[in-house]
Amino acid sequence: MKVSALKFLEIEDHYLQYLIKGMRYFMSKARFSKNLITYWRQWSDIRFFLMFVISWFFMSFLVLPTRSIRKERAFMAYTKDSVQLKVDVIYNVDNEPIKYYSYVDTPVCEEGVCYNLLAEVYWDLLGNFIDYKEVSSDPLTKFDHIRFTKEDHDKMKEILKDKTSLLASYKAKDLVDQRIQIKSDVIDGVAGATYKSLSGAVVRGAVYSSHTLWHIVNGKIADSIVAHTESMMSDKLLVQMLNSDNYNLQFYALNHIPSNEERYVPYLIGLLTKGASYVPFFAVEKIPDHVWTSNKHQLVIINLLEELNFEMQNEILNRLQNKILAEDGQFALISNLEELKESQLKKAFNILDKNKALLSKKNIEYIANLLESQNSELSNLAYQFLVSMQKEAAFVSKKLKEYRKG
Amino acid sequence: MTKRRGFMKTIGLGSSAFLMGPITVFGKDGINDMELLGKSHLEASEKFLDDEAYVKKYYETDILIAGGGMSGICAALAAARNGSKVILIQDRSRLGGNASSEIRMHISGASQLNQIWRETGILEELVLTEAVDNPQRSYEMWDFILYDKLISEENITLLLDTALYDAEVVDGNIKRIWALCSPTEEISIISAKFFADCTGDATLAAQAGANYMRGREAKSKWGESLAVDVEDQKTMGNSLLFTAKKYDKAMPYTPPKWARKYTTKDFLHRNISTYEYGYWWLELGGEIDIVRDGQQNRKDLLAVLFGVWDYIKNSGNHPDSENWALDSIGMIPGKRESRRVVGDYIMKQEDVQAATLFEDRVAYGGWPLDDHPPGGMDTTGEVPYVSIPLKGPYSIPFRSLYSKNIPNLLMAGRNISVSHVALSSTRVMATCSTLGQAIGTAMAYCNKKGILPSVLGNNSAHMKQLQQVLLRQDQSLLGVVNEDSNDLARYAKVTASSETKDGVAANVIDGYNREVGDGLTHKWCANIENGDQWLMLSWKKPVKINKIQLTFDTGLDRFLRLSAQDWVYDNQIRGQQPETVADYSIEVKGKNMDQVLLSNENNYLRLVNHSFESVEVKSLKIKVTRTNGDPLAKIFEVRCYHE
Repeated sequence: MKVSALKFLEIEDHYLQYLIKGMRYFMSKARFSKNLITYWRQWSDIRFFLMFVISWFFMSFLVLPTRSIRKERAFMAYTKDSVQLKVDVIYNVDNEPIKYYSYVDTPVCEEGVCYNLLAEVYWDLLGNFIDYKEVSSDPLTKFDHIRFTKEDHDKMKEILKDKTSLLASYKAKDLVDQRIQIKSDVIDGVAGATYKSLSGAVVRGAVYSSHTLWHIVNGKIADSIVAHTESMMSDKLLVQMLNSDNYNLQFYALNHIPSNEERYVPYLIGLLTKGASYVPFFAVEKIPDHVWTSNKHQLVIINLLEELNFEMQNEILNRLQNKILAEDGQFALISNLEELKESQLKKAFNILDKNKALLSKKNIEYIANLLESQNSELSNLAYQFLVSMQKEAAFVSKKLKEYRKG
Repeated sequence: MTKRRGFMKTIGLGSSAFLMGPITVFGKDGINDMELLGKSHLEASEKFLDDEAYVKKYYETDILIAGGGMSGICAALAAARNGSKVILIQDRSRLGGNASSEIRMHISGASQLNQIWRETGILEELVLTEAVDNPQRSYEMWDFILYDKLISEENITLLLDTALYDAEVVDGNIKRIWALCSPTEEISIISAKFFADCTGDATLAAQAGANYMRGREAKSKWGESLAVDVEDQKTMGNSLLFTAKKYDKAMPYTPPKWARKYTTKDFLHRNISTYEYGYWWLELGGEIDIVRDGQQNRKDLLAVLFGVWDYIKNSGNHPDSENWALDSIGMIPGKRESRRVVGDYIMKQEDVQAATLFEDRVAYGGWPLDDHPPGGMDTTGEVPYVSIPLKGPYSIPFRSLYSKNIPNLLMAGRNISVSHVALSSTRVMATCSTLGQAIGTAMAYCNKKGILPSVLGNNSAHMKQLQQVLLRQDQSLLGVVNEDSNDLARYAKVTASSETKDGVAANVIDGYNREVGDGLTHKWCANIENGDQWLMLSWKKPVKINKIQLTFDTGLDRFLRLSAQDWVYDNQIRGQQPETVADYSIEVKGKNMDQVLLSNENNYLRLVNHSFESVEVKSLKIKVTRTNGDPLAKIFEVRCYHE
């Protein structure tokens, strides 16, 4: 849902951009066209534009009142310099809270020069920095009022996302080595250089801006956002978090859903493939024991094997050790064997070994087909497995003989 | 007022012998009970009739050092080399503490800054020796390099397997301590003028009633941003290490039943990339009494260790571990934190981060503010450490190295007077080693001058003298330069066969004996590829000298330390450091004299002292004929004395 909401936001931005572009186009034509014929030739353009405006106008009446993004004041906050900031929570078209926003306007003083730092800042529902946008009238600048480059913005965003940055514990002045002076054309004097060993923690030439913005983004506001989100917490919001693509939200929700509740099992299994970073490994841990013995769930999980990474495949194989699989589960495992690495095949055949007595003829045949696999480890293990079955696998003895012949 | 704790009664060792007068024993052996009672020549049969298992031995010395880890070793060597009689007691058979073969943690410190700040002094002597004498990288060899250094000092009496268990405090000062050696069934009763607590746990300080801190202070206490919001009794945990070897066949592993079970999620913040050496994050104990609950903690740590090895071997996530098997398994958890003794000054976060330049600085640190959350392997969902890099080295004041309320008690190691946050940086062993050298030298200074550590710490004239002694003995002190008026080299004219642009000959008497990050080399450099190079000191009038001290380059911008971890050697050069002058001779000229005074071959040390019969010289020439590989002959400092 979150993804679709964001997309909707982008579309709305596009509407606005089309509207503005269209108006500009119309005005320019009107200003420079000299005669009626030209006007008439342009009328098709104008008609198209007017149709667009009218449809957009009606859409805003028909759709937006019921399915629009909206924001509402979440709380007021104060920076350490006692600057008041308004923090809003933004809802998507489905009326789900999706992020927080604040227009930051705060003084920054460095080397005796003060200026206002302006930025539109966005956080996720747990106070983690998402993004900022510059205020066009007052873009971010570095030493000597040089504007931020794209790389500087990327660096700043990387810094702001790092909650464990050393900026948390360093005073801005302690980041600057006054022994190394840089001449400034603007402040009519000199400024210190960032200590080499600490320079990675700030945007080069923007120590004080980096420091100030980091503390606003990751300071008390971040904690207040968590508190505000928790005040809105509901089962629906937890599910929204589980379904998000945000590691922090997924992890938070995972830790807040009750264990052993069947209704969450599909979400937990979903996280095995959709979870960000390490979330799948915490999700797999939270899957209740009964799931691993349930034929229905086993089948779903085994069928995920080919999508999963190496470590998660091992987690699944480890958890299926000594478990009885239904026929379709057995088949799913057999048909996924080609996806496994050499070291995992033994684990998989161990699972099949425990199910030896329950293997259907069809599944034994599928295993026999693996004798032809290009993966010699797999064909060898399949051979050993079938040989160990003797009676049950007698009907594939011809294939076994062929395999022996090589 | 005399204060004794009740240990003696508890183990039934009370004796009238304690009432006897002090026995002066500076030798290697104390005087035993029977000798005190006038039976110094016992028949062999009588000895065996002794019905008490434990024999009491009495010692009196200048300095008692409790703890033979890196701090205690450096303290003992420094104090002994400065003329004091030292007894070092160590509760293990091996020396080195956390750095010993029993624990196998590598010695870390200011090299972590990736600058030029590897620690010098006694530690440098030890690691240079180890790098040359131990190419096989054997931890046991390292133990014996430490052992060799200690027993080679005449002023040191080393009592191994000897654990301190009691202290007597008279009029506020520690008078003597009791220590027990189980294998020899001896009780050592040691009187001393100064006592150094290098136990790590501040056992001596606690037993003597010194004020100490434990746990984590709140942010509000000293305004430390890295501190916890609410104070608690939690600490960083202990770690148990292992080593493993690769074989040429599969080495299956079955863990003991009591091993913990781990899955992939437990390694979100804990990286397993190599197998030859265990992981510092096998850590536990921060949430219990890190001293008192040690037995249980070791048990839990072993369950963690085997659990992690089981994960490596059997989870399937590390198929390349198939041929690996455990080789050595630690039984002594390495401690990061326990008690911190309150000194005249308590170092805090600000002192480390802002690098306060203390007037009474006697050492420096450079490890990041590297705090470990107390949960350790009980809380694998959390990061195992929070490390805040430092901008550069910071100074450590002497006032943090002696007890505030026990005047003759000093400390070096993790138990010094620091906040929990500051400890997260000062705790590492290279820093602890320099603290050891600092207090060893300071105790010898106090012993000579007949003053207490608090007088030394609060008197700038004394402190300046101590700093000059430390500097002369290669302890690096930030911003302290050679002002030793007895150093005759300072009054000489220096010339050389050749010199590089930034390595002029006069650098050897510029007051600095190392690079300090000011853009200058502070050393003489001459290209030896063009032939032998010489450096000459000449005086207007002849001077009498009987000591020459040379400081060479040993590549302080690199790491140099023993480790069981292969990658730790990536930035190291083992063996002789290439920058160091290997072969040289010193020629002197004077009235009716022109001779080769001495020569030295295969040198690998940074600081070399030459003592000889007094000679009156007009000039001396240091002729360098070989380095350990560097095309430049490099000398940081030359000092000359007549003492």
